[in-house]
Amino acid sequence: MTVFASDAFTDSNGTLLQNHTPTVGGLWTKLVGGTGADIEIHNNQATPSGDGVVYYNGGTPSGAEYDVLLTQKIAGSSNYALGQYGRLSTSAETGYLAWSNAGAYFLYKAVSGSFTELGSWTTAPAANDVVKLEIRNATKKVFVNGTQRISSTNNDVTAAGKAGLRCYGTSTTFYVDDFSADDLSSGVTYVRPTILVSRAAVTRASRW
Amino acid sequence: MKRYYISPVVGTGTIGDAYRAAISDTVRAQNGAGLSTVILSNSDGTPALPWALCIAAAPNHVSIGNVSGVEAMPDITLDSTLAVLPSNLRNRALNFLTGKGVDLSGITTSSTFGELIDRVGKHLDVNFDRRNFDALGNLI
Repeated sequence: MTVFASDAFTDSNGTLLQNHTPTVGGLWTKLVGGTGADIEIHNNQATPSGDGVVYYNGGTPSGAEYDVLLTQKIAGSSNYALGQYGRLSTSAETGYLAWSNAGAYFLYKAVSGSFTELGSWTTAPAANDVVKLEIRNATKKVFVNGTQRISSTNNDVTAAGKAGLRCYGTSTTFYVDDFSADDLSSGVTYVRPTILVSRAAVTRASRW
Repeated sequence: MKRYYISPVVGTGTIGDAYRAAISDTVRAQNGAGLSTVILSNSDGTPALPWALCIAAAPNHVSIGNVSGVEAMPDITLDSTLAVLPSNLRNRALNFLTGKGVDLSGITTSSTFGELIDRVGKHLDVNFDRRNFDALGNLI
C-alpha cells in the first residue's frame, strides 16, 4: 500500500497542527473548531487544546478505498474521545469516523455534522492501542491492534475525501501518535505491528 | 452469541447523542459486546425511517430484547429455512416486518432466514450484503 499521508507529530511543544509539517502528505487544515480550539504538538505527539476539533490532512488518496491508522496514547483520563476520519469532506464534517472514549470504540457516519452510529465494541481502550479504519466500498471496518471489532456495509459517503483527525477533551490528558493513511493501490495487505491487550475473557462460540 | 434485532432509532445526531439503534446503549453496557446497525438516512444525515436492523454479539440477550419497541428476530442459523420455525414465531416475525413496510413477496417457508435478513437489509440500504453484516467477527 502507498502511504499518502503520515505524521509522527515530531515538532516543538506548542506547535499547532496547522503550522506543523507532516512526515508525508499535505499540511493539516482545521475543519471544525473555533478560536483556541486546536490540536497541538506536545512531546512529539498530538493533543487537543480545545474540544471538538477536526482536522484533515492535505494528502490526496488515489481512490476512495484506503486505510487510516492511529495510535492512542491515553494518560489515564476518562474525559476524552478521539479518532480518525476517512472520506472526510474538506467543506463539511462528512465522512466515516472511528471513534473511542473511555468505554467503547465506535464507527460513525457523519453528514454535515450529523452523526449516525454504525457499530460499536464495548471495551476500555488502552494506551498504545493501534486503531485502523478500513474504508472499502463494500464495508467500513474498525480494527484494534490488528483484530476486526466493528464492521458496516454502509456506503452513503462515496467521495474519496481526505484522512483526518477528530479529538474531544482537554490538553495533556491524552495524545495521539503515528497517524498514517494508506492507499489500497497495490492490493497488498498492509500489516501493522499488533499490540496484545489484556481483556476480560469472552465466551467463544460459533456464530449460531 | 449473536442475534438479529429490529430496533427503534433514537438520538439527536450530535456526536454525544448520535442517531443509533435504541438497543445500542444496552449492548454497550456489556463488556466485550459488539453491535452493527443499518439505518436508512436522508441526504442530510437524519434517519429516514424510525427503525433499524441490528446484529448484536453479546453474552446476555435478555436485556437487549427487553428494550422498548425492540423485536428480536428468530434465533436460527442464516441457512435455516423458515420452515423450521414454529408457525407462531414465523408468523410473528413476518407480520412484524410487513408492518414495517418490508416487501416480503416471494418469501416462503422454503426461504432461508438469511434471505429474509437480506430483504430487510436491502429495504434500508441498497448496498446491504448479509455476508458483510457482522459484529465482532467470531469472538462471541
